[in-house]
Amino acid sequence: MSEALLTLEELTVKAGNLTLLDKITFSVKRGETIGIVGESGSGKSMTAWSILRLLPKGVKAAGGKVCFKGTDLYSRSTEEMRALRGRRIAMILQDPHAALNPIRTIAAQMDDVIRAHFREDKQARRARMRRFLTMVELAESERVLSSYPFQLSGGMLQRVLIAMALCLEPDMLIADEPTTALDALIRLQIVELLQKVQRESGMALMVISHDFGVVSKLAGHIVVMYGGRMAEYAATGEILEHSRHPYTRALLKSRPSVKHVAERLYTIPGTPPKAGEPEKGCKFEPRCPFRAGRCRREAPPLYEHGRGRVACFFHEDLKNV
Amino acid sequence: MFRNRYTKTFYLSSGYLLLLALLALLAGGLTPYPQDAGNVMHFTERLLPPSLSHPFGTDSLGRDILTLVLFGARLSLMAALGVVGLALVIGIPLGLLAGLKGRWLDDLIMRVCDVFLAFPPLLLPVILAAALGPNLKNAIIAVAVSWFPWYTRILRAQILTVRHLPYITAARSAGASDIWLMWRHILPNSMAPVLVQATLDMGYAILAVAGLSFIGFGARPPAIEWGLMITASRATFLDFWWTAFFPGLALFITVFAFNLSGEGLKKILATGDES
Amino acid sequence: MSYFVRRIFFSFFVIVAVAVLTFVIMRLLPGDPLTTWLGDRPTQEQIDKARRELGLDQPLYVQGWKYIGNVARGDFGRSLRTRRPVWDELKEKFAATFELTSLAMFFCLLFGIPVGIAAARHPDSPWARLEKFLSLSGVAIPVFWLGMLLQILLAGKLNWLPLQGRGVLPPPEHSYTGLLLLDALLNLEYDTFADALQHIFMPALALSLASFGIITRSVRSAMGQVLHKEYIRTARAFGVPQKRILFVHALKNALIPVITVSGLVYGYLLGGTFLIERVFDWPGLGQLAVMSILTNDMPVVSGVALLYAFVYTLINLALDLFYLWIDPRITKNAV
Repeated sequence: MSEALLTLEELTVKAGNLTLLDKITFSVKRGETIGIVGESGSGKSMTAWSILRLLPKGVKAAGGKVCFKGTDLYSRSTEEMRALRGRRIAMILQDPHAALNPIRTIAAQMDDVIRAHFREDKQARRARMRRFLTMVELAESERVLSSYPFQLSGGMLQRVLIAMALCLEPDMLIADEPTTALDALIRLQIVELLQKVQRESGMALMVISHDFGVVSKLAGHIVVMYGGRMAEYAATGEILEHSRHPYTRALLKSRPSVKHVAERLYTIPGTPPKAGEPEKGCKFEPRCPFRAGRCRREAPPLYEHGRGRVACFFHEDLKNV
Repeated sequence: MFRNRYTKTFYLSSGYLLLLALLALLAGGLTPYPQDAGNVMHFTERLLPPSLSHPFGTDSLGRDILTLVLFGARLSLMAALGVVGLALVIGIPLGLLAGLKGRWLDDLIMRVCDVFLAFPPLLLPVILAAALGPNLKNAIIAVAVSWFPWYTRILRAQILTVRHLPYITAARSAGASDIWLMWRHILPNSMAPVLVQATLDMGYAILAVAGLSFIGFGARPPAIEWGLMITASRATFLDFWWTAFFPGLALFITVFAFNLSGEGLKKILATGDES
Repeated sequence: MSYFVRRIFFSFFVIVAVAVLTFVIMRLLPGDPLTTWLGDRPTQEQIDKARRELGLDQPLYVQGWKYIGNVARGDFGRSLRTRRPVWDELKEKFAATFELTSLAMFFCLLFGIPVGIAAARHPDSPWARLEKFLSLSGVAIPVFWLGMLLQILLAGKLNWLPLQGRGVLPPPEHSYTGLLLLDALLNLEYDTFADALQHIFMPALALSLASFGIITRSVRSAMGQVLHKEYIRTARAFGVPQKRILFVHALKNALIPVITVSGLVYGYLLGGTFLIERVFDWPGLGQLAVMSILTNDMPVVSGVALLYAFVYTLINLALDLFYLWIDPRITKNAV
């Protein structure tokens, strides 16, 4: 039985009466990559923060489990969680400039992170920093270390953040919109870097993005989220070729593509829902081209269909379309 | 809803101030001891602790302290208006000149302001008040003259910002004349921060004048002023605490009320920075 | 760096201007300085002699020019009242005032910063409400009234502290700094230290309570902003302990605006010395200033004004330096 590294079981997160995440369920095995795709507000970042238990004020987990290496993270103490963050599960964020303290050098910040988890002497820490900066292909590691964040470019900073995450040798890395704040050219480089890094370290990777292209290059499995709920969950190939959820299909259709140059770029009509609405029924219903009366009355459950899971009443029909 | 909470404080503090002004005006008619405002002495009633007939007690001359506090409110409120008004009268034209005319005039005015602002608070007013002769009127002038640079600076900075706003440039390129622009647009939009600051400063004006009176460079006997009352109580305050307590309390509450009103005004006008 | 040089140059100019301004104003003072110098009923001959000696027969601008020249050489003239060199008078009293204001500043920061931090971290707690109340009311309290209330309570009713003055015991043997507290410690005279501390406590407390609110408000505001920054969240995500985040990352960033405010606060404290020194009979510059103004002792007044302005400007310059050191973005010419 292959054990999963991380399993989310019906994780539900609420802010007061508003449900931000509704019964999120998926798992990641060692060395695997999973992608989480959705529009902003779909709850994908919230999922990541929920795993690390760094929820903002007023937001609480209201149900379900987050099992990491067998234990439910929500039963761990504060100190245990602190020791786990970065060391076992590391996370890198969207805007590398904002993620670093502007008045401290890179070396000082990496040092803080290392010292929080390892008892190594100064030499060893420095060596560790250099080793991982080299791994992320930053040439002059000494120069980078003594620089301040504002002296480095966005691409370099993102590499630094990846190095910071890696230098603790975690079991899993969560990358929340790792390429969104970067130029197109750099984007590609970062994606390739993530691939290389994962290959070499064997750690699990969770990539969160609204960009299907980035996710599909990196992930073996994809979770599509909408309005705080799961829409679809399957292997990447399956999602790309045989998606069975109207939302996923719409998302795929709205990607700009060099191959199919359409006259107008397809956009999904309507706007994503705010947290908590609509209360009943399927969240995507107002914008769904396949909707029926039932969709407004009940929320579809997550159906298992052999090759994955879908939350749509009509997934059988969609299989054939 | 958050907005309402602040407005309530604003109404409360402004209400207090209006009440105070009213009481100050009518002080003579309200109190059962109107004669205490003058130079009287009630030998048998000296230094009585607070009681029903004398809620604030009596001072070393036997005068009812509540009456004195009410009369003192007149001078303090006058001081607030006087200081701020005079400072605005001096500061605004200079600020306008600096902001609108620019170049060497601007530099000159700014340097002068810098010199004034290099004095720690109270030093310049003390010297000026002493130079002019210690009395309340001169204390007001002294504080006003020490303070006007603040307003000049604020107005100038605001004018400089407003001048370069896109819509002004747009209007100018559409043919609007400079004078018209100044009157209709630049001035009205620049005044707000100055006025907000002025309101906030009213409380501090009272404190400054009271402070000057306390050291002896402000109001002088037989004037009735809160700071003066406190300094007069120095002979008796250790054993007869009310002689110092109530005038100071009046100062504190009044200045506090001015602060709250000023803050409330800031929120209402929505010009101030986030706090 | 040229920015800094310009600032120094400019400050120097400002101080000179302050001297000139004070000089001019003092000449307007009613009353005759000669009376102070000569005492009662001087003869005409004495008056004329004195007038020439003091240079009062010269036109105003000549007097002013001479004065500046003298000051540049360190000659502040002689006190008309005591006939001692002004510099000596200033030196004695300055130490007393400086000790008082510095201790008050220390109190302000010591209590203000933690309260501000607590208010920023827990916006709905009692700390936050305390902070709000203090910052609004603190600045409204008349500092001299507060001093007197403290006297009534701590000296009068409870008899815990002495009423006035700087100390009853004789000063320490070797005066290294002029600051009683430090000197007593350095001389290992613990009795003198305790005595000095008892005497300085109330005036410093009164001074600091009035300005305390400005610091807490500034700290709360700055910390509140910093704590919401992305890099704080990142540090937490990497498992950096909360304490370290607070004190190393957050505080350093939050200190920047607080430093600017501290300069302002020190100015208020300096101004407050006029009032507090009177209440507590503290032998400092404030008392000296009042006394010399009352007796038309022009050289002393000018000296005092110069000294006040100098200290104030120096403190602000020092704070600017500190600010530059903390925030590397300015010196390294960040965009």
